[in-house]
Amino acid sequence: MSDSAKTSTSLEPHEQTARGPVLNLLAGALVWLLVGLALTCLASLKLHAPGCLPFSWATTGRLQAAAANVLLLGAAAQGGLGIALWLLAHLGKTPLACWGSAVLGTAIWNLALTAGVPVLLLGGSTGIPGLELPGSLGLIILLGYLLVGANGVAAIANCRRDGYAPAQWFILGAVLWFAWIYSTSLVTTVFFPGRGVLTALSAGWFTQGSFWLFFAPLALAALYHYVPELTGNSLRSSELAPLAFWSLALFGGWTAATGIVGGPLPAWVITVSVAAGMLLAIPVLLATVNLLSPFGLGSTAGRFAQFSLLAFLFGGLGKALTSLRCANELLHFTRFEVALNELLLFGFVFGAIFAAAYVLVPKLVGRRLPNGALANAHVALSALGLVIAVAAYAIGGWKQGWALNFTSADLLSINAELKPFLRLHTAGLAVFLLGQVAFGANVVLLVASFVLPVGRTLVAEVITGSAPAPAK
Amino acid sequence: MNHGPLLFFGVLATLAASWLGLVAVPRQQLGNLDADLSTNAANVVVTHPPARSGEATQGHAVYVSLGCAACHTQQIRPENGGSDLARGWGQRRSVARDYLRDQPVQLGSSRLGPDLANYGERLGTNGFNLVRLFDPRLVVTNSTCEGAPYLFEVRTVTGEPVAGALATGESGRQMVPKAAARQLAAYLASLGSSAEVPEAHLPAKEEAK
Repeated sequence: MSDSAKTSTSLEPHEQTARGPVLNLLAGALVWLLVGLALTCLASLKLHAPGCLPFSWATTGRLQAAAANVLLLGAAAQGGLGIALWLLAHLGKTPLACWGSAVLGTAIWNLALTAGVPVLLLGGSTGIPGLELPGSLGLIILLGYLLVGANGVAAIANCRRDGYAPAQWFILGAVLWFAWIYSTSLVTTVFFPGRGVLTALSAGWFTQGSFWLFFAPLALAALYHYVPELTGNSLRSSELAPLAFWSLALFGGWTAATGIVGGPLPAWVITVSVAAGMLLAIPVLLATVNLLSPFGLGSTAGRFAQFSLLAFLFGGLGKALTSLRCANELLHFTRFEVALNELLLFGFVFGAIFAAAYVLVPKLVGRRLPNGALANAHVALSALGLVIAVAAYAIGGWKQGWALNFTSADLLSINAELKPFLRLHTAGLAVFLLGQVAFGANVVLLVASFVLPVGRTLVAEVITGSAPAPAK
Repeated sequence: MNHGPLLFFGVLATLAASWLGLVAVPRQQLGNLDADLSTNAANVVVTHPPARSGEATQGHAVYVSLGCAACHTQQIRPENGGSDLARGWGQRRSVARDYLRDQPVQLGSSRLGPDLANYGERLGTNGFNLVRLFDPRLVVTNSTCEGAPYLFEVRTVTGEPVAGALATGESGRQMVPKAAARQLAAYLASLGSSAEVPEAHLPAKEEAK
C-alpha cells in the first residue's frame, strides 16, 4: 500500500466526499492567484512607466480589470469556497450532497473565467467597475457558483451536530448573500441597467457587498475555525462571535456608496453608506478581539492566520475611518484607497485562505508540503512584499491627497512626487508574487511526489516487462 | 444561534433590506430623471444634458473599452468636499442629471490624471489634439498618461494630407488616426456639464440670487 492510500483513511467517510471538490477549488484558486498577481504587477508597472507595453491589450484599465476579476472571482472566491465546503462537511459531520455538481460547477466557472481574461484584455469590458465581464460570461460563472454553493447550503441543512459553529454561520451567510448579490447586480447593471449614476450605485452595492458579505465572511469562517485549532484554546468569548456575525450582516450591505462619497448621488444615499461604513468597525473589532493573540507563530498556518487578522484589523479600521467625510475628502481618488483594498484582499482574505490551506491540504492528500524552506519563503515574502506595497501606496496616497486638495500644486508635479511610491509599490507586489510562486513550487513538488513514483513504476514496467516494487 | 430557519431568514432579511434601500429605492427616486431645458453660463437656453453626436457616442464606447476610467474621474465634488472646483475642473458640482447620456456611466475612482467631467469645455474651440492620443509626452513633456499608438496607422498619402493626420518625418508617409481615435477625440470634446440645474447652481447665478 502506498503512503497516500494509507493516510487518506484518516479522513472520515463523510469527509471523503469533500476531498475532490475542495482540492479542485483550491487548485483553481492557486492558478488564478498567480495569473491575477502577474496582471496586477503589470498594471502597477504601467503607472510609473507609461511608455512600456504600448499595446491596446495592455492599457492600465484593461490590465486592472482583468486582474481584479481574476483575483476576486477566481482566486478569492474559489479558495474561500474550497475551505468553506471542507469546513461544512467536517463540522456538520455530513457528506456533500452531490460532490459531482461542485466539480462540474468549478469546471464551467473556470472555463468562463479563462475566456474572460482575453475578452477583457481585448476590450470587451462592460465598463462597470467590479462587473467588467460580459453578461454572458457572468451568467456562466453564476451558474458554476450556484452548483458549488448549493452543496454548501445542503451541507448546512443536513448538519448532524448540535447547534452551529461560528464558521457555519459565516459560510451560510456568505454563500446565500453572494448568490443574491451577484445575480441581482448582473440584472441591475449589465442586463437592465438603470440610467446614468444608478449603474454606478448598483455596481458599488456589488463591490462593497461582495467584499463585506462574501469574501470577508468566508475568510472569517476559516479564521474562526482554524485559530482555536492552532492555539489549542477555545474562542476568547463565545458571546462576541454572534455579535460579530450579525453586525457584519446588518451593516455590510449598506456601504454601497462608500466609494462615491461626494459623487452625483442623492445625499441620503451617501450619508447612509458612510454611517454603515463606520459601523463596520464593530465586526472588525469584535472578530479581532476574539481571535487575535500571540499564538502559533511556530507554524506556517499560524503565521498566516496572525498576518490575516492584523491585516483585517488595520484594513477594516482604515476602511471605516476613510468613510468619514473629512478623511474621504483628503484620500478619495488617491492611492490610499487602493492600499486599503490590497491590504484587505491580499492580507486578510488570502492570508486566511493560506492559514487554512496549510492545515487542510496535507490532511486531504495525506502528505505534508514537501519543502519547509519554500513554506518559510512563502510567509516571509508575502508579508514583506505586502507591507512594502501597502506602505508605499498609503504614504504616497496620503501625500497625493494632501497636494491635490490642500495645495495649488499642479497635477504633473503631484504625479512626479508620487512616482517613487508607485515604483516601490510595483517592487512590493513583485516580492509578494515571488512568495506565491514559492508556494506554487511547493505544490508542484507535492504533486510530483505522487505522480513521479507512479510514472517511474510505469516506465520500469514498460522497460523490464515486469512489475517492480512500488517506490516509496 | 442554533436555529437553522432563524439564521436563514435573518441572513436573507438583512440583505433584502440593504437591496431595497440602496438599489430599489434610488432607482425609484432617480429612474425617471430626464433631459430638460436649461440655461448655460452664457445664459443661452440649451438641452441638458446635451445630445451627443453619433461619433461622440461611439467615442464613449472607446473610452470604456480602453479603460480610461482607471486614471480619470468624471465627477466634481461639492465645494466643501475637496478642491475640485478650486482646481477649475468644473463650475458647479456634478449631479445625477448630468449623466443621463452616459451608458455605462464612467465616474472613475482614481485621479492619477485630471478630472474630465468638463474636459470639452476646457478644450475650447481648438478641439482635442490627436497627438496627445498618439503620445502624450510629445505635447506635455512629463505627462504620465499612456499613449495609444495602436489607434493610428501609417499610410502613404499622395496629394492633400488627410485631415487630422500626423507627420512621420518621411515625405508622403502620414500617421492617420483610425476611426476609434477620431471617435474618442469627439467624445472628449463633448464632455461638459456646465448648465444651470435646479440641484446645483452655477456661480454667476448664485450671486445674482
